[in-house]
Formats: sequence, structure tokens, C-alpha cells
Amino acid sequence: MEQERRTKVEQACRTAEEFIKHYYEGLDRRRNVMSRLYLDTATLLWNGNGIAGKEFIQKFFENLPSTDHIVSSIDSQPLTTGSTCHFPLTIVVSVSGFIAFCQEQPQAFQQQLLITAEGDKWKIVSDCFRFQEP
Amino acid sequence: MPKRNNRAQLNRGSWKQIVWANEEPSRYYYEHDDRGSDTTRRVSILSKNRISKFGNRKRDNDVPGRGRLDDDDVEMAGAAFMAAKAGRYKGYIPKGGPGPSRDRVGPRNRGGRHVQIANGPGSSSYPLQDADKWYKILIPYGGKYEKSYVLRILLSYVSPFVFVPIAYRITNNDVSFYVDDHKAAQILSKANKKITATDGFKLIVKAFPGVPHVSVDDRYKEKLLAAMRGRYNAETKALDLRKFHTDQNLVDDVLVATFRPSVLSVIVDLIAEHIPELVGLNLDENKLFTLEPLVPLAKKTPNLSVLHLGKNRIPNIRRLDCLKGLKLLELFLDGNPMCDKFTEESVYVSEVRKIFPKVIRLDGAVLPPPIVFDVSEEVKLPPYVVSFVCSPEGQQVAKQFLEQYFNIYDSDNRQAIGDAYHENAHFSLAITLPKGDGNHKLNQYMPDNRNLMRVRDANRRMKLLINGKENIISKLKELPLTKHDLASFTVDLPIFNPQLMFLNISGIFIERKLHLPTRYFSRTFVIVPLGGGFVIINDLLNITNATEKQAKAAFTKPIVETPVTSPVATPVVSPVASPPVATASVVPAVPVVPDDVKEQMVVAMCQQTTMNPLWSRKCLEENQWNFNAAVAVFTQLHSEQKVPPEAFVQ
Repeated sequence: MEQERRTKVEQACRTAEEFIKHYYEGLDRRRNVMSRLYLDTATLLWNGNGIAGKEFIQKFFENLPSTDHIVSSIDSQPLTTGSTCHFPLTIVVSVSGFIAFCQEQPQAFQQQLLITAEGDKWKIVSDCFRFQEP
Repeated sequence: MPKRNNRAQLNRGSWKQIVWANEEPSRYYYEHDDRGSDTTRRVSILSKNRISKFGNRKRDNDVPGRGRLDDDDVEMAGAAFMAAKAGRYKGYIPKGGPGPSRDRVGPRNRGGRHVQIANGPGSSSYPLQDADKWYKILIPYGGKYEKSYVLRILLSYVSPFVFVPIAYRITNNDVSFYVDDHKAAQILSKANKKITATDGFKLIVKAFPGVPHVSVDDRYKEKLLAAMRGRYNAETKALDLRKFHTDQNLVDDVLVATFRPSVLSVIVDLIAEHIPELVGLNLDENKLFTLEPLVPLAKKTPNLSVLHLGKNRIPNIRRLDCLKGLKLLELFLDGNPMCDKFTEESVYVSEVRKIFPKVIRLDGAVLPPPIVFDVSEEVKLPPYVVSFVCSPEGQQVAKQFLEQYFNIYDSDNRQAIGDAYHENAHFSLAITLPKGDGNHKLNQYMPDNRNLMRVRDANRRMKLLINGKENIISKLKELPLTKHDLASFTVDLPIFNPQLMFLNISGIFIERKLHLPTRYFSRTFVIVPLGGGFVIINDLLNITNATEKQAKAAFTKPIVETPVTSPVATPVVSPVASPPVATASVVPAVPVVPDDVKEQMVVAMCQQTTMNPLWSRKCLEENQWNFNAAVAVFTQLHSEQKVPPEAFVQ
């Protein structure tokens, strides 16, 4: 039981670290592949603007000015309630860092992701992004 | 160049001082005698120049040439001028630099200073030609008269000409003040021995170039700020500092020699701190020569788009290069020496536009729009929306949950908070260190910091992930007592369905009873239904410091502005203080969606799906006004190409 939890926690950490790398590299350098990181029905909340569906999310990112992200902290937990309830393999990731648009002054942001395993791929269920200061 | 003469004029001490300020003591010190260095050349020219122009007289400490090289340019002529040009940048350093005797309060009073520059009483050929300088007016023995009397007789003598006496001082019974233009100095010097005072003495009036000394301290800054406040128009966000040095509130006692970089820097700092929203800045007629102190405005006042620099002393358009970062739309440069260097208007415009490509008004004239490439990237971001909640039910539950949760969390005993957590819930804390702030005072949280970028060890990662309700309660009880500013909260609820609720919040809090920086947090809850209510299974807390702006705004907004608002939210209801109820008992009420909210939802639906209002409404109705469900259905059908084309006809 505890061993199973440990496995899940370790997996959540590893996945979060890897995923975050791909995510921001994609956003900063290869926007065209962003939609592949999302479930078809995923939602993105970007500073309170809601976008549903991976095609719309892709379109949203393509309209966003070019970005550079610097990640300062990552934390991650597996979704688990012990033996009583079975989620599909899902983790929650919390990120903070700095984002700069078009080489302008970077500003602090927070981002939370709910990531689930769909078949053999990790996909975002929900993506929630905010500037620290409006 | 008169070597001996030079040495006679400058004693060893002052010479050393200049050399030292160059920060290359050995080189300049030893090169002094061979006349090879720029420093040497400059000083020699200066002294020669003075001799030729003003006759044989001693060094004057208050002559502005000692303070700024720019004055040398004007005074020097011919070959000497060219030679000095070559060394101007190096030459500048010692003067504005750390010369130990600069920036003192009031004029210095040293021997050899009281030298009259005018050719004699009533001289008609005033030798000073530079109309841009400041002049010091000295009235020996003037201290025995009242200030108002002295000024009255002087003003009446020069009438109808008017001057503004800056920094009127009485030192050793001598009166001194400054005027900011040549004409005033000329006219005043003609008053020498022409006015008979009430006691029968004739007033001696002397004028010579003089730069006021400024000591920048807190009192000085306060005075400046007060004067700036009076000149700021909050409505247009414009700061009018035209002829700032003659400001009625400042002339008596604070010297605002705006052309001095140290003073202009203070003004820029005050703007950055107090009016970062500045849009327009007028610095006309301030005798500005160097614009370097304005550079920080590019970052500190991102909205600054109107800049007036008319009638200053900017000698060359290259002086503007350093301001390239400003996104100016309107610029005023007329009346600067640099403008006279252009014979063709079109060249002038194109040179200005090389530096400020977006300028559409120059010197008051509207410019034809420039033809540019369609590649420049404007940073246009979607608007910042304080909250997004995917459904009205979710709104209700989230609101109730947050009120109850933080009611307990901010109380003296967090024990009751346990009811909000699942038996096997997880909690972890990550700290984001603020950028470039060594004094963050977040140390108390560091032992619990589970930032995976710092904590690499698997066992430690395991240990810092608090598991189980009891462990979470004791961990939360360990953390400092807090007070959260609910009005500062942002609430995002992207998922609210029978299986799961994904709730992200952020906002401002302080540690109660501790004098620590204001904090900013973001917190993620994964909440699942259990029994008749909801419990947290995941809680990820991230803490950092609030920005300066956030700290200032903390706890100032009334709480009625509940953060839970979104295009699809129910109208804001003033929260009623509810007793701490165990969160597990929260049962979502079945919502009745008011009509105005329905309209908002239709608009939001149109925006998201690009369907027309009719079809957006239809889709929402069919999904019982559950916004998320409606969007999901639309996405599904759209991907299967089952949405009829007429739905998109606007």
C-alpha cells in the first residue's frame, strides 16, 4: 500500500519535471505542437479567459506574442485516495516562474496543470495560467 | 599651452582631485606634465580660455566650467575647441564624478571667488555670450537688508524685465542668488552701484556664471515630490515640469538644477516610485544637456508616450539614442541646438524616427505614417479576468468552500480544518524566491519547501509530501497564523463535475503578529465528493512575496468585491459571515440561472465557439445552462463536423 503510494509519488515527480520541460519548450520554440499535449476536451484558463478544446487552445497559443519562460519552482502530487477510489492515472502539477513577451520585462506567473495518462501519452486535462500581478 | 601658468593656477590638491576622479590615477598623474592626456589638455584649454576671455584673474570655484564640460564647448573656440571635443567624454567624468567637493549645500565660500566678471560697472559689453547658463548674482553687504526689500528694488530697477531669484541666501552678510539666463544676469550687472538703498549705500551687484550646488537628501526629495504632485495631472497622467527650477514652491530653498544628472535622476526615481502610470512628461526649458538620467523611464513608466524636451540644450540628435527604449508617440524637440544642425526637415524627421519609430507628432506637427514591415510584434494579450468559474453550481460551491476554509485557516486554531480533507489527502508547500530580493524573509518556510527543482532526493520528496488528514492538520498548525485578503483572490474553477473539482486560487496574505513582507500565494485544490459533501484530496500551496504594488493594495479593497466573478458567474452577493462549518457538510444548491447571467453565458459561448448568438443559446439551453458541458458538447460535435454551417453565420 505504502509502496504503491511511493511509486505513484515518484512517478508524479518524474512526469511533472519531464512534462514541464516539453511544455515550455513547446510554447517558447515550437508552438505548432502544443495541441498534442492536450486532451481533445481539455480546458485552458489563461488569466481568466476560458478556452475549451485542444484546437481552440492551439489557435489561442498561435495568437499569443512570442514568449520566454523561466521556471523557478515545480511541485507535483498524484491524484489518489488510497484503495477506495480509482482514478485513471492522473497528477496535478503546480509551477511558478517568469514569463517574458517579445523579450520585454519578465513577469511572475503561476500555472497549475492536471495531467492524465491517455493510453501511453500524458495529456493535459486542465491548464490554468495566471500572472502574479494583473 | 602655458605649463607654468597652469601649475600656478591649480594647486597640487585640486589637480590630484581631478586625476583621482578619472579612476586611473597612475596614468593621469604621471602624464600630467607631458600634456598628453585628455585631462591635461582639457584643463589647460580651460585656463587659457579663461585668461583670454576674462582677463587675468584667479580661479573661480563657482564657474560652471568646473562643473560641466558642456560649458567648455561653448567657451572654447577654434583649435582648442576641436581638441577639447576629442576628449569630452573622458573629460566629463571627473567633473560630474566623485569629486569630493561637489554636491554641497549652498555656494562655497572660498578665497578668490568674489571676482567680478563683467568688465566694470555699467559695462555695456558684457563678456558672457552663452544664453543658456545659470548665473550667480552676488550682492556684498546685502545681508543687512530684508530679502523682500532687496528683491523689490532690484525688480523695480530692471522693470519691465522680470527675473526669478533662485536659492536666495545670505552668507557672511553677502546676498547671493541664482538666475537662469544670461539676459537677467546682464541686466542685473548693470544695476551695479546704480541703486541707492535706504541707508544711503549704493548696492553692489555682481554677476558671474555659477552653478548651484545640490545635496540630495530625504528632505530635498520630499520637497521635490510635493512640487511634482502639484504639477501632476492625474486625469491625463501628465507631469508638467516645464521650467521646473523656477517653481514657486522650490526656488527659495531647494535648488532644482534639473540639468544636473544627479538632480534629474532623483526626479526620475520619484516618478518611477510614485507615478509609474505616467503618460506625458514635459521637460521643456530645463537647460537639459544630457538625457542619460531619463533612461530608466523606459522600464519604469511603460506607458510614457508623450515627451517634451523643447528649448533645452541638447547639442546633438545622438543624445537621444539612449532613450530608444521609450515608446514615444509624441515628441517635442524644437528649440534645442541639435535642431539647427538639420537643414532638411525630412532628414530631421527620419533621424528622429530612427530612434522613435512610432512618433506620429513631432514638434507639434503630425507626421505622415511611416511605412513599415508587417512583422513587428505588438504585445497584445487577452484581457486579465479576475475569475473563471465553469458553472454556476461550481461558483456556489467554490464560494462557500473558500469562505469556510479561510475562515478556519485564518483563525487561531486550525484544528477544524481537518474536516475539509480526505483521510488520504496530500499536502505540499513550495516556495518561489522573489527575483533579486535577498531579503525575502521566507526562511521560516524553507524546511517545508518541496520545490522539485531544489529537492532532488526521492526520500526527501516523499517526506515533504504530507500524507493523511492528521499529518496535514499538524503541518498546517505549524505554519504561521495568517490573515488572507479575500478581496484580492483570483478564483479559477476549470473543472466541476460529479467526479472532481479542480480549484485554483491566488491572492494576498500576511502572517499575523509578525512583521514580515506581504505574501502572495497560489493554491491548488483537487476536491472530490464524499458522502453529502466534498473533501480535498490534493492541496498544493505556493508562497512567494507580494510585489510592491500588491503589498500597497493589500487589504484596501472592500470585501464586497467577491473575487468569484466570471462571464458565467451569478451576480455578486455580499458575503454573509458564516460560522465555521465543517466543509464536508457543504452541499451544492441547485442553481436557478438568472436571465442576465444567461445573456453573459451566451456572449461567452459566442466568443469561445464562434457560433452565432442563436446557436450559442440553443447549445446552452440544451445543456441546462451548464457552460462547461455546452462547450464540451460543441467541441465534440464540431470535431465530428456535425455543427451545421448556419450556426457560424453571423
